[in-house]
Parts: sequence; C-alpha cells; structure tokens
Amino acid sequence: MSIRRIPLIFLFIFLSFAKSQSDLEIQNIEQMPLHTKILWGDNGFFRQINFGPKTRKDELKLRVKMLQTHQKLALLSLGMLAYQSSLGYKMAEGDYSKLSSHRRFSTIAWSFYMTSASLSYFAPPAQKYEKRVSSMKVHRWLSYIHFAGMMAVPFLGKNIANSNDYDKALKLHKNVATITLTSMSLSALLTILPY
Amino acid sequence: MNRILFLLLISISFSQKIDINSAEIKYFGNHFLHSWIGISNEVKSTVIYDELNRTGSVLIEVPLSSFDSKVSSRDSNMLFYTDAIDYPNVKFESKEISMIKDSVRIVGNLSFHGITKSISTKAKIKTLNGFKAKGSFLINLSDFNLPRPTFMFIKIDDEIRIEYTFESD
Repeated sequence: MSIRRIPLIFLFIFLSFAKSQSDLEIQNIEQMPLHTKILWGDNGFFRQINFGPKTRKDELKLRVKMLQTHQKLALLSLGMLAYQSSLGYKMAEGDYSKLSSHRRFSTIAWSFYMTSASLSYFAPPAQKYEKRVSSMKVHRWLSYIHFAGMMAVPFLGKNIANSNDYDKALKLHKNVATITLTSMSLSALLTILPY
Repeated sequence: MNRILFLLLISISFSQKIDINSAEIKYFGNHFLHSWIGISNEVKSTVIYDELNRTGSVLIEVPLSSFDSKVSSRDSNMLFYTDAIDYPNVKFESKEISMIKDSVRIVGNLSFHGITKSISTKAKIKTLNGFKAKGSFLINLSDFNLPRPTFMFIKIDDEIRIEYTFESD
C-alpha cells in the first residue's frame, strides 16, 4: 500500500465517523420547548455554567433516568392529590376533623409533585422534536395548567381562613384544585395513547 | 473453460439491479397498555434479481433516526435504548435466496446494535407492472443485547415484528 494513501484512509474514516455523528443531531431543534431552550439550548443556562454531562450520549442517559423517575413520582403525586381532593370535599361538607390531615398531606403531595415536575422540566433535550400535535405534546401543554394550579392551590387554601368571604375563597380553592387534578389525570391518561 | 465463461456471461446478463422507487420498513412495538408502529422511508437498498436462475441478492441499510412513531419523545427514547449514537444504522445482507412461485425465502445477516444475527424471512413478490416485495419477520431485543424500556413500571415486549415493502416501476 502506498504511503500517500494513508492520510486519505484516515480522512475517509474521519468523514464516515463525522457523518454518523451528524446524522444524530437533534431533529427539528426549532420545536424544542422554551424551557428546554432556556436551560439546554446552544446558549442555554446550563451550557453557560458548564453544568451537566459532557457528551450527548450521557445527556440522553440522564434524560431517560430523569423522565423515568418523573413518571413514577407523578403517578404517586396523582394518587396523593386524589386523596387530598376527597379530604377537601369532606371538609367542604363540614367535617373539619380532616383539617390536619389535609394540611399535612398537602405538603407531602406538593413536594412530590414539584420534584416530579422539576425532573421533567429540567431534563436534557430529546433527540427529536416535532411540529405536529401528539399525545405527548398535549401532555406538556396540560402540565402548564396543572403546574400553575399546583403553585396557586396552597395559597388559595391558606386564603380561606383569612378571607372576608369564606364561601368565595373556598369555591376558588376548590375550583382551582379540581382543574389541577383533572388536567393532571388527563395528562396521565394521554401517556398511554399510541399517538 | 469457454463454456463456463459463456454460462457466467449468460447469468450476468439475466441478473438485473432493481431501482427501488419506494421502500418502507415498519417496526411494531408492544406494551400491555398500548402498541405502536415506527415507520421509515429512508431505506438504502440494493436489490439484484436473477430472472434466469430465480435468485438474487439484497442489501438494505436504514438509519434508526429515520423511524417515526408519531411521538417524538418515544422516537427519542428508542434512539437512546438502541445506542443510535454508536450504532446509527440497521443493516441486512442476504446470504441465500430461493424463489418458490410468487414468493421468496431470504436468509441473511441482520446487524443491529453491533450484533449480527442470521434471520430468515419470506416475502411475496409481484413482478407484473414493476416489482414489489412485501414480507415480515420477528426479532427479539434481547438477541441484540438491547435493554427493554419501562413504562408505568412494566417493560415493553421483547419481541418486535418488522415489516418491509420494496417497490419499483
């Protein structure tokens, strides 16, 4: 073999490798959700502070781990919120013996929910995004509703005792909690749809 | 010697490369809660058909990133679980082809996730007004040393069905 051919062979190997890597660039990156862009985009926060895995492969590994944990914690949170809802309804009907359980449980459910939400929102980017509407996209849109609801519900709950209009404050807390629980249940159901 | 050369020339003249206009590969995934289909149309293929000897050869390569299951996060997970950064393509190369009436039995090597396994598949062939081949086969993820993703605490099925269609005018 001619010695002149060796650099050519290296160039060929390099180009083949470079091609296989570029084939796996993030598809439809422009469709990446805003929160992921802010954290993990080219100029994202985590990139600026040099935080996170060094390779894309490790990023994907971390993403899958975070989303798997998110899934489990979200299911637990949903169960706890459903229980919280039943306690809340009993209280609204006049059974105030449930007050301490409702208060105590709200902290646990809220902590589980926020941990689960953080794992999803802070996860590194996926390998592929899409323009069309899919079950997972609606799942994400619904998350904005139940996340806002979960932020508001504890304050609205505390507000009941301090409010001048007890009925109005209770109704507001109950309605926001119901919307939060409904959107979260729908969000969970969407994950089992094939499309 | 001349006779052998003559036979070889005859055989070559009857072997023709078929320009595939449309190719589709589907995989069928299953979980106890739902099933899904991933489709790729970005298939690189070389199909040679020897009409005289009723045989041929097939070479197929498909990038894993080209599969679309209609949910991008699922496709993204698939790319992670199949180690698509290190093994971006799935390749099939036929070793033995035998035709029986309007169908063909193909035995060949499937290379996926850095592991090569021999598989056998039977395809229906139509040669009137162009060329069409359609068939399927089953693979096990565990045979290719692939971990099975978990959803709602339960793993997806190990067995994946692959369906393929190749057409030419």
